[in-house]
Amino acid sequence: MARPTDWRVLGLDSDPIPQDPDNLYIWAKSYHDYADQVARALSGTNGLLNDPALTGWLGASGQAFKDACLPFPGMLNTAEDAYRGVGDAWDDFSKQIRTLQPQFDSCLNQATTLLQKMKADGGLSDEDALACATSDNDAVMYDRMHAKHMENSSTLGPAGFENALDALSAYRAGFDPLRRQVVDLCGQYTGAKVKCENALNDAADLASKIVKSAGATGTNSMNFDDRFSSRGGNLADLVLSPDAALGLEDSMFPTQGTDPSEISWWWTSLSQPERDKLILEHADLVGALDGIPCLDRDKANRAVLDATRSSVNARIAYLLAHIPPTDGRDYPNPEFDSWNKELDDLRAKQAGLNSVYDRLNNHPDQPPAFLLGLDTAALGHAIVAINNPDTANNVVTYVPGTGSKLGNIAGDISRSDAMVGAAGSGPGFVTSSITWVGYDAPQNIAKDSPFIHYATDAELKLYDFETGLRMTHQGPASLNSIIGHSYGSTTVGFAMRDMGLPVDRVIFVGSPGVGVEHAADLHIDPAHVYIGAADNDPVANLPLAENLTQLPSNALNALGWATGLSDYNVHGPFGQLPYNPEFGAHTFKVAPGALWPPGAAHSQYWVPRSDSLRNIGAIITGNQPS
Amino acid sequence: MNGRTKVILIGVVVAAMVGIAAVLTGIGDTSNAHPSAHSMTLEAAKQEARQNAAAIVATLPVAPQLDPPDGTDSGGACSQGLQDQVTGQYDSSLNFRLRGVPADRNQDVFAAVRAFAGQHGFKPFGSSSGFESFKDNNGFTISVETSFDPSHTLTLGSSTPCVWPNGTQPRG
Repeated sequence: MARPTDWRVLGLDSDPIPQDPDNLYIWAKSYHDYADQVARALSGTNGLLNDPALTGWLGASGQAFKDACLPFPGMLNTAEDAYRGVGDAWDDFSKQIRTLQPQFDSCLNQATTLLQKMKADGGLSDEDALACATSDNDAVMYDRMHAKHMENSSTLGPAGFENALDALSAYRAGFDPLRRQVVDLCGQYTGAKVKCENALNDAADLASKIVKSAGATGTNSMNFDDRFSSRGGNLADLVLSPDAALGLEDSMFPTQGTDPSEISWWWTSLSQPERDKLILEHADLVGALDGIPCLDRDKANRAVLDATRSSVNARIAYLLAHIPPTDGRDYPNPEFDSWNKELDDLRAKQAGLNSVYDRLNNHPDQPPAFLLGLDTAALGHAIVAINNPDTANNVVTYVPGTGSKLGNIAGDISRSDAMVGAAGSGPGFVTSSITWVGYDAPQNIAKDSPFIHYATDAELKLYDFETGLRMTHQGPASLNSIIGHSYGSTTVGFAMRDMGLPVDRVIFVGSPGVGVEHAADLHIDPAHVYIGAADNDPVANLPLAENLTQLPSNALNALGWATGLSDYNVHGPFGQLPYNPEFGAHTFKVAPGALWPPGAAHSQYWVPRSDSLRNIGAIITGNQPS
Repeated sequence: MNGRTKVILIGVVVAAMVGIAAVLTGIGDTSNAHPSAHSMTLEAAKQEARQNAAAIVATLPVAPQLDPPDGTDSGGACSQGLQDQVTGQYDSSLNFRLRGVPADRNQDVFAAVRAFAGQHGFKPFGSSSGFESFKDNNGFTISVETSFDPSHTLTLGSSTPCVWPNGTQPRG
């Protein structure tokens, strides 16, 4: 039904409530429909983000994708609220209009009726009637009536004129309550309008939050690619389905030679489920990476240990069940020799694996142990930490020398235990000692130890390991020391000389030389280089050349070592002997050690309650030895 | 010095200082081994170390709390010789932090341990500032030392010699 358009009789220039409630309702419904669509999108997005295909998408791009998607649920939820808020506002306003408009119209209709009566009873024109109706007092009405009837010809007599004035005056009084009602209605209308505007503003604020949550300010705030890239995602990966991306995980592993700092960053960038998955499926790779935290590395290597023990045990059982025949064969018997060699090698490794397992699992009366590396390549390698180096105040790495290998690691682990015991512990004061059998050490002091390649081959491995310790340590930097024994000191010295190790202190015990003439050449303050040399340790007191040249030449000939002494100088085989004052390091107190059997003193630096062990404890805790 | 010379030199060094016999036979250090190692199990040796610690504590001028009560063991597999081969023997090395000893009584504790050592056949084995240790004829050692952590609490030590776990050397 058409609404009235002429509102002048009520003193209004135009329709005070022109909105079409039907249109408002359509707007409201549109926004509600938008909100419903967003709600469905939200539900779908949540479903997508929790879909195994996406949660299983590993790697940097997978994580970046998830990170880039992360704002979506919140954004959609906010958008739904905003759309629904707008719809609600229009709907509410529509209802208000639908209620108020008839009341306005009713007032206007009543006023129009009065106006028509004034026109008829007063015999006035439309213009005069409207002027009479909207005047503030009766003066206007009298003037118009007088002009119409008294100044011109009129059928009204004086009495009729007065009666008409009275009637019109009564009609005019009828406008007042209508006008007051219109004023009241306008108040209600303004209130509804303000309420609607506030609701729209609130919705606009929500929309602003969506923009902010997208991390941008412009119209491109929803640009997914930008956010994906900013989080480290590779846009090329977006062309792959998450299922396809699952195949990327193998190539995610850092390549050989990757710096431990990059490995540490890479590991940190992974989510915990990703780390757990890699540990589960690639324990051998994870366990060998320097730069991965101790606890994760230990978890991986324990799995490697279990698997390795099983395979070694199974192989030994197989060999014992398949002994090559020897009867009736001529010697040598290469088949039997090969079988026997493999069996000996496996039994040695089996012993080492069992001792590692025992230390990790069966000693609740000792500090906890962590497995930081394990493999059975060559003679086998293992890295075992007593206490967690990532959280310890002091960290010492022990590098054993000639004879060290997986099969012989039990004695080396016990030396780490001895050093932790010597360092002591207290509230907030923990020392971690790491047995590092991470290189191929010489096995025979006469045949192997003279050669330097065991040391040079170990340099990068040792550097990476020490760098990894620095990367994964939590809290204030720990005091990191490294102790090399026998050929292990040579290994440490070569690495320090050639690469510089990120350590604060270095200890050489029973050292035949560390590859330099002076402590100052080790890329560390010589004040932090400490030497332990037992008087009766033959390795730490290698004879000078002038003494050697006095050996009977026939004895040298008998050993096959009779030539080439002419250019020998006064130094040891690997540079200046560290205990010599010219080397420029601190020499700490060590008992002379046993004289017999020969070489006994070489292995006595960790004897319980000895001066040597006490001094090692002092050094690795930042104190001065005696 | 060329590489060939180095090789020759080391061979000479080994021959001169170690002796061919020692290298070939693998005879090693016995200084930390129990003289009657064939008869004492590791558990029995450990029990004796505990008893030594308890006996010392009983003589101290102040009654400390032992932390932990059973000690922390830093012992393990023993090795010997120039090539550090594990022998199959083990030792136990117990450490007890002495709680409740006032710092001004530390010297009294040192004196008490010293007296105990003298009375029970332990001879001086090691000493430095804040550290004294003693060893008996069977290879058991005892010590008292000031810890390196900021608290400088005293620690009592009691260790066994290297013994066969079951008292005798396994055959084969």
